[in-house]
Amino acid sequence: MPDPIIATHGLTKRYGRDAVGIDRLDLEVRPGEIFGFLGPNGAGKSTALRLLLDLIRPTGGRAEIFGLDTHRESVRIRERIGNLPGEVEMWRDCPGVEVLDLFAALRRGQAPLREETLRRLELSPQALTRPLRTWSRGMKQKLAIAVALQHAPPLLLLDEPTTALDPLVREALFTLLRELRGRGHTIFFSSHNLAEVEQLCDRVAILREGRLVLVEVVAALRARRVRRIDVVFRAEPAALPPLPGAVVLSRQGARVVLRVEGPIADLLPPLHALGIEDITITAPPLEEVFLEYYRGA
Amino acid sequence: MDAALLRFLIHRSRLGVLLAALGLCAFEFIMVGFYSKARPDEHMGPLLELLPEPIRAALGNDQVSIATPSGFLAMGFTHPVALMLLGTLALLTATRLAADIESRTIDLLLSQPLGRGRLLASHVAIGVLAALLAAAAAFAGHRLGVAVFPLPHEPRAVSFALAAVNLGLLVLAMHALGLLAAALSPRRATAVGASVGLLIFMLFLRLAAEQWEIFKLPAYGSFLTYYVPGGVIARGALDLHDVLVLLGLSAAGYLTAWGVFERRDLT
Repeated sequence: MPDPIIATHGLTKRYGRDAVGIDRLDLEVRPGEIFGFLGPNGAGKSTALRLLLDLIRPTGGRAEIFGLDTHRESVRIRERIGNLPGEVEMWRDCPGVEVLDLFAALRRGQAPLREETLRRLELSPQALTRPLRTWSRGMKQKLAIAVALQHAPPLLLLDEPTTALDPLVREALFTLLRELRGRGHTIFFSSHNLAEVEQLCDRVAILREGRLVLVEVVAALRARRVRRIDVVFRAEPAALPPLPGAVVLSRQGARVVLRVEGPIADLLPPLHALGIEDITITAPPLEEVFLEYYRGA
Repeated sequence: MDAALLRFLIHRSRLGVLLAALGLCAFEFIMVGFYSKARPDEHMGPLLELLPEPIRAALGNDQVSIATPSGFLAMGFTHPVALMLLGTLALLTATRLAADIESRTIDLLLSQPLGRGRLLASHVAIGVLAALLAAAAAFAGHRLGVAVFPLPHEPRAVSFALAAVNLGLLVLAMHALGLLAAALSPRRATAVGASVGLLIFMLFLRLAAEQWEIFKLPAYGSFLTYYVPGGVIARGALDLHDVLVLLGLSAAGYLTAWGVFERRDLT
């Protein structure tokens, strides 16, 4: 297995005696993946990202990016990353183009992805000439994304990137991120929205109150999710056969409602043997899985 | 220091800094015009000379006759309006760092291949430029006034140029103080408030030392003790001791700011 792009080892950040930002975070992000970093507001996602960027210092543990220590070699790391902070207010009196030019100049003029990003995010050259105080929140977010992407960094750290984006632009961003993954870029995607992560990410880590609850391949997470099966038989069955992984929630005449955890392939033959007239399988959104973990279930 | 960042910082600060510098230039120009019109040497001279020494010292004129053009114009360098403009120029530029921390723009800046030290060095360079600009503006305003308004005898340009250097060094020291406050603060308003409070306290020490013996020792800790344009103009030379102290205080302020900024969490 190739060396991880990001690795944290017991990374901890405490504020004072009681407040925990991040607690003993052990994480690995592999090259070329889109890694979802999930958690509700205040779970510690931004704290973790700011620790990775050496903007705040850990009270315990350590982190590496590209095998380099995030504190001692932070400048070398920053040469190869693009960052979209979660909350940022850029200079109100600057036109957008000046902001892009400054950040490009800090990277010796490198901005190979600028035009493509601006086009895909629908930021017009006319808009870029106006000062940011006249921009909407969504436009500022697009600009911040362009700042993070324009130099085509091997690693992208995105903190809630879809905030204030309309659905079309969000989709355009996701397409662009998938293409970047296809070109070998690694993306660390922090979000509190599971649907987004399900749609975009290869793996996901769930964070709760500063602690890592789960790291899982998104497809596996989906497979482990709970489903609700609503079956109507042709005739009321006298008794139900053993149904692996299922719990009967209700039974009314020929209608049976089941709750199933895990794969349903083994469950279908015994149901079929009873003579199915109608069947509805509801796959609850990944949100429910997330909530289960979040509630500590 | 980073050239691109320096250009950007200059660009961002240009309006406020230029207005403060133009204000200073205009004030020194007006002071010459006022002297030319009012001619205090003819009308108020004897009266001004009767002012108690502590008051003349407070006006910055303990070492040169206030009734002469040089003495009166030296007052233009220590006048509260001039001090306010100098403070504005210094703190406007110095506290930008705190504004970037407050707005989290610092997250974007420090996501670039730019160490905290280099970021701070760019701010120090801005402080040096602000000091040079302040000195140039004060001197230019003075010389412009001398060229335009008739005076009984022309003040020595070199003496005022040296007083302007003293003024530039004061701006540098105030900038260092402001940058230290910015490096410590989570908000710009906190940095400005702390800096202004300290500067007012230093002014108080400087003035109190003229009146009461007990304040003489603590007044050595005030930047303004080493800002003596009246003395510079009277002697026609800078006091090396004053220069070194102001430079030393600036260096100490910048180094402490660097030490703090390198270690702190940017929250």
